[in-house]
Amino acid sequence: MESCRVTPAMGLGLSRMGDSQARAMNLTTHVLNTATGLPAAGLALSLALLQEPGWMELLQRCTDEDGRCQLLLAPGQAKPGTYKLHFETAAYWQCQGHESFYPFVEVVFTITDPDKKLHIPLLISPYSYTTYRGS
Amino acid sequence: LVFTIYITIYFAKIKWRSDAADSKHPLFIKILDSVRGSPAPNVPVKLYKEAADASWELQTDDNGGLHELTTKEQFVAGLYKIELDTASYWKSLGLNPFHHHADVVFTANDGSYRHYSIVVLLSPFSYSTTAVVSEPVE
Repeated sequence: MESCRVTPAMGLGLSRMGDSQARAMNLTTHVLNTATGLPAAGLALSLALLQEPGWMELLQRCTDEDGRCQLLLAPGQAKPGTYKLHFETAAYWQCQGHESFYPFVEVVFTITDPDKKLHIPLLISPYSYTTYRGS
Repeated sequence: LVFTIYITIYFAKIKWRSDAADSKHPLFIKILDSVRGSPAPNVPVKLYKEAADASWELQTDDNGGLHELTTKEQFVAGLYKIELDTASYWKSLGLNPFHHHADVVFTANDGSYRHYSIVVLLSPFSYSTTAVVSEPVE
């Protein structure tokens, strides 16, 4: 995955908004650079679903100027299960002129109710990161 | 009395382990439980090396530490993944956690041989990890 150039609308999913009536999963993330205290803009990420024995990639996106990203899954795709968010952090740090410890960060979590909005922030610094389930 | 004191000191010495990597144990994991304010013992830890058939599985000790994941000879340059079965840890405490597990992926010994201490701080809905990389003192 290449790192992204940021445009303002990039964070929004590109799926058609006409499906918003049906069950669709609304997952948002927010990546913050804790070394600078600024959002991590233009950071590439992807979402995958565990389908043994491997992972099925569902979406690829980038964070916007505010470090945010919204990942919308169409009703057919949104089901309970184990999901993985993959963040291309090393590419981001390289753009910032920093070395970093991790080639990427992956957050693996369980969704029991796809109807509920889910917010998964990630705080990053070159040798550390924190992730949590937010609101 | 002198004999008693000697035995106490001896046992204290063999129980004490440093909270860091050392030349015999170049990769050290420390896991802490931020709900209980304690180490996280008995967390299953797997170490994978990219493109190798080998993976090693062990558990953190009573102090939430794990020294024995690899040895100086085994710990060659490459891409490694540490996988912590944090869900089992929380479930054994009767809690339902958010994360399926916690992964830490890193490139080790790229260029020269080093020591790595990986600290992970756990909560049921959050985790944090940091890496301390040091040059070995031979």
